[in-house]
Amino acid sequence: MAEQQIVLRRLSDYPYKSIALGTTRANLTGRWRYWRPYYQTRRAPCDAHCPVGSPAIGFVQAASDGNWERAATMLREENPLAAVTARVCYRPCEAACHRRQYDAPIAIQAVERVAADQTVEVPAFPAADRPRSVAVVGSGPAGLTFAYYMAAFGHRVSLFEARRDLGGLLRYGIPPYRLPKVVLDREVERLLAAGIQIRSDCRLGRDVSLEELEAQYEAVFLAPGASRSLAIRVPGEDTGAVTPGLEFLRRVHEGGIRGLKGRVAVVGGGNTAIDAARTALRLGADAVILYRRSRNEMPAHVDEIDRAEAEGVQVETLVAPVELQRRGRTVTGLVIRRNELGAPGPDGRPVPVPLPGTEETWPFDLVISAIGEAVDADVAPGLTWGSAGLVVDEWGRTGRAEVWAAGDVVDMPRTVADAIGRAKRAALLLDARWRGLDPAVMLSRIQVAGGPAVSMAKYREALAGQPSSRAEDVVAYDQLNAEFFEPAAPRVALPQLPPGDGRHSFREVVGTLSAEAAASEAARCLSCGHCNGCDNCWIYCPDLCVSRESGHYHIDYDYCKGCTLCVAVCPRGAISTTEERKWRG
Amino acid sequence: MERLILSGNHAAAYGAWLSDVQVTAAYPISPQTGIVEKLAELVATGRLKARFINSESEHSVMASLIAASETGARTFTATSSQGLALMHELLHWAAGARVPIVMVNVNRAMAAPWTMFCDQSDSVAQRDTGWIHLYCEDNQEVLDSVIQGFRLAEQVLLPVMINMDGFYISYTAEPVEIHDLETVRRYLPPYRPPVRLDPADPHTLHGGTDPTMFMEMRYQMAQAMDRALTVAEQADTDFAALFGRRYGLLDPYRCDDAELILIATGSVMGTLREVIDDHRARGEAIGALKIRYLRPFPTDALRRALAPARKVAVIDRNVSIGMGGVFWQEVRSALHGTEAASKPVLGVLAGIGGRDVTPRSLETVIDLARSDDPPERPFWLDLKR
Amino acid sequence: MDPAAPATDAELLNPGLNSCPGCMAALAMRHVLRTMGPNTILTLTTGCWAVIDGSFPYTSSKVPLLHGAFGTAASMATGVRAALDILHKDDVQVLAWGGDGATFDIGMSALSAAAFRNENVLYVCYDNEAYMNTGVQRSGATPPGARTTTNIEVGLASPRKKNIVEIMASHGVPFAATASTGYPDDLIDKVRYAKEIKGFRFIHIHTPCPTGWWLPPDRVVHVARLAVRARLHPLYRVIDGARYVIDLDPPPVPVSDYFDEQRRRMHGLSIEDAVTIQSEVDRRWQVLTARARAC
Repeated sequence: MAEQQIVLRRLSDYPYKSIALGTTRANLTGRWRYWRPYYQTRRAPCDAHCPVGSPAIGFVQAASDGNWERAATMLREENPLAAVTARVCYRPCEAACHRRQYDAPIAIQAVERVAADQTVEVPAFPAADRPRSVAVVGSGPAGLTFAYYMAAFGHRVSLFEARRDLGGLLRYGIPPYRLPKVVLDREVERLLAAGIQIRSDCRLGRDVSLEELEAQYEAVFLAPGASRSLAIRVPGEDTGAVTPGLEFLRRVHEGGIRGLKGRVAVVGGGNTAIDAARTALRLGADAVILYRRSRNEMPAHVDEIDRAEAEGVQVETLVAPVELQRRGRTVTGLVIRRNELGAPGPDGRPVPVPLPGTEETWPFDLVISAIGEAVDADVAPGLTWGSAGLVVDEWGRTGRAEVWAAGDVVDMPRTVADAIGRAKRAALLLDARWRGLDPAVMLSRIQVAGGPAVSMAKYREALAGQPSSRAEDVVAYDQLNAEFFEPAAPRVALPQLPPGDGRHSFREVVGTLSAEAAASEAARCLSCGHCNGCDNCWIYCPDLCVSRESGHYHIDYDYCKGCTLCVAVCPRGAISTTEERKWRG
Repeated sequence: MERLILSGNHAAAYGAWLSDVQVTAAYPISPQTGIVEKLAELVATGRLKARFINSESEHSVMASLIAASETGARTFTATSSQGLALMHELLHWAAGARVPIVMVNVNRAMAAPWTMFCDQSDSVAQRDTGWIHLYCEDNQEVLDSVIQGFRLAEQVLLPVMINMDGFYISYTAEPVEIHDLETVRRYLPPYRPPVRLDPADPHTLHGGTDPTMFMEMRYQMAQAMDRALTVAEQADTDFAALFGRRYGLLDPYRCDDAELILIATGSVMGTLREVIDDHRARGEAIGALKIRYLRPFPTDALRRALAPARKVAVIDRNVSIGMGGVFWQEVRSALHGTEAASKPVLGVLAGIGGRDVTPRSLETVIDLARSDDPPERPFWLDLKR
Repeated sequence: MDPAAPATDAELLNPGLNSCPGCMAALAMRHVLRTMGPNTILTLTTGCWAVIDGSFPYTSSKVPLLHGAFGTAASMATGVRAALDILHKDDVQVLAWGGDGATFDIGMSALSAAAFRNENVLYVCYDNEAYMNTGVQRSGATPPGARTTTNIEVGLASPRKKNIVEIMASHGVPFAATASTGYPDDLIDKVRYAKEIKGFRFIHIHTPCPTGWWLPPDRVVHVARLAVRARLHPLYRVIDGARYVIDLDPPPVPVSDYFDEQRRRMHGLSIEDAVTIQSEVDRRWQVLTARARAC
């Protein structure tokens, strides 16, 4: 609040001696400024890297305050399958966490897990003006997510699942020691409560066609996954001597396989191969993974590989099967040949080059193939299929009007988190279209750090006509100020079954932290890009321009000289600068 | 009221005691040390309820007293020559700050060369600082001037310097009346500045002032100094009513029909009165004029007092090298533009560095003043040639 | 800190200061005044702050402020204290404020006298290591190798910086401490402590100056912290001239890190000079820690 200038015109205006008559508030030092600091929340790297668009920093901050209800609400709004991702996601958030460069990343997933276990009600989503009918094919992560959001918006959703039980790969592909079925059941039940009609034992292409669905529903969402195991291409494979990995896991899940003896070979290096090997181990067999490239190229997550080995799985790299050894219908072994790595191929990965003369015969009692799964174009032959899957645009639309798709059926990264994220995006964009809004404009509004993930919180803001509350530039580590971080605290150790114990049962290997332990782990969060009221800007401003009021800071631009000390001392990088435009009126 | 045999120094200290001084700071310097010691004793024995600061230099003395005065306390100090010079920048400051400090300066010649003995070169060099200056003739006048000085200072808000000759007054003992404290308190009310340093009513004092505003501050000081002429006279009149003694801005002695008037200040006046009486006894029309106030300079009173004289001589116990005695300059300046400007005004430099000014010395001055061809340039009295 | 809580110590300065952008002397005054509270009288001597407060007829101060001549912060404070005491206002705090020029140099004798008399005042020296207000001339606080407009010698040939806290401690004053605007919590803590005790209290605040050290304004806090971490300005206090306490010991850095941040200012130092300075700093740190342990 400025003051008037004081002008002494006559002798009678003077005080009787040199006593100040006013304050320096009359001196508007804000005019000196060349750089203007301003508070601007930036994207934290954890948020930016989450394929789901989960508010990692949001729920971590809430957890560090012990406010689990808020943590859970923020989380559930953005991630309907939080208890699942809290177990099976490969934590790109933690890989991106800036604290990694200071000491060790925050165990975000462990915090997510405690939040996911809370019972909360997400505030109602803005209801659609006109409820529409939607068919969802597939109840894996993509299908469940799309169905949930559509139902939460008030649309009438029918979910078609080829198998008897819901969950897709979550149920049939991921073993219970990673994702207990009781957890999955709870998640599915919670989603169904949004109001989703189920038709199970109903397979697209066999029991119902795409055209029928298009006729009966205003939109169709395809998420049938990819479950056609790729052949490892050894002679004799098609006699049934080689068991596809997903089929193996399904049969174990359904109780069709209860015990295994002898040695099991698992061909492949991805998640399915690891799961198959560790499952075989638990059924009593010795498990050997055969992978044609080196360990570095294995698609499976390195934590999973390490864990498998710790449990006793043998991992053989740079080997490929050449020939099955059989006695009648029974498998007795594999002839393997060693490889070396050659030049990068078209996908950028080094091509394995067989080394002649290195063949060996290894005894096995069971051979499982887990080198990947292909999509089944037969489910909807009228659509455009590429070599890697169904062709969709940036929003998730196929070439056919109001036929959308996401998940493994589409050419995209094959993780649970990515599937959830894309399905969420498709749901929000379709809903936006149905509200009469332009999905292209909406997408740019709700993208997190340039996509692919989108934010439900930003969608609410957009629907409410509010301006966007944050910039989408991601805070770089050098925009933080590590000088003001608390002394290094060690990352929490997660409760885990010792590998020696874990391998003997299907009990969940990694446990849940206590709320206290999770909260103190969350307190290690640096709050990248988000003001958390540390007061550094306020304490270091030499010009008394920063004031604080109910958790918000304000800059008095009448006096701010633009020294930008506030920007430099902000540990979070939550204050930005812009040039003060003085000469352009 | 009691009468004590007191040195000039002790008389000054008693003057401060009677004035209910609240904060005093001082640094000892001959021939002033008696003031500091007596004040310390008065405070230590509880007779004077004041804070006594043992400052480490005169510069700090004046800085502390300015600050104490700004905080609302009545302040007093004493110094001499080198010490007065050391606080020079703060003398300007105190006047510009309009703080009513009263300081007794014991006149002592400025070094180099080193000396302890009396002349006025110390105080006249501070003429331009904005302080009120007065010069005392004897010990009683010192005590009385301190009391009058506070009243004058606190009314016009300018500091007051009271000068007394080193050794002749400061270390010479005479009978001095110590007035009744309650009567003095009737004459001198408690100090209540309009603005002071007080957290209950915060003010910032003396921040940097630019050319568009500085001159008026100085003008206000000039106005205060002008008012001081009237206020000083009134203070003197009121003092006389209560204590029976008056000193005036000037003190003409047998000047009404004098053809020759000798002007002097300080202890020399005592000797000069005796010499005038001798000449008057022989029927000569001769008088002496004591200048008490150098600042404000009582121009009108001086012109009236010198009206009868055909010749004037000014005896300066100081010299501004290159021009002459300061009182001589001031007198001639005051007479300028009047009919009296054509009177011959002889300038005499006497007693510099503590050289005695005897009756015989003064005879020389009279002879010189009466001669047909008195020197135009200042005359160095009793100089070895 | 809880952002929801209102500021417990209200600001006692108005904005609109005449300080340079990034001025650490302004930051120092802000926190000291805030902590001292409104029942304070401030005596301010010549230097940057005499200008920062604003020209007549404006002021930034919400407490009574007396400007004074150069080198008189301690003697003014003495006078204010005497007047307050005789006027029965001994609860009012007296805060003397001077820069390194006013404290280490021209006001040194007044400072020493006030400390000797154990005057009941808090004297705060803000140290930007040169006479900054008059344009970066050297002072008794200018460290060897620092560029000013008036040092003739180069590098380690320059005189050493006076250790003002040790000088104060040797007077046996109740409290003498270092502080830094890089560590405002420690500064505030020390002012709070000083406020509660009587007698002569002295705080030496290191206040790097962006203008006089040729630094971008937004680097000064970092530089201030480096000075502490390099142990060139360790944060400690001396109680009654005898008991040493090290207040903060942040992770140390070599002095060359500190010098590297100020290449324009410390251009007079060679790599060998930095090595010599490092061993001197290490030696002084040993002495300091030994004293702290012995207490």
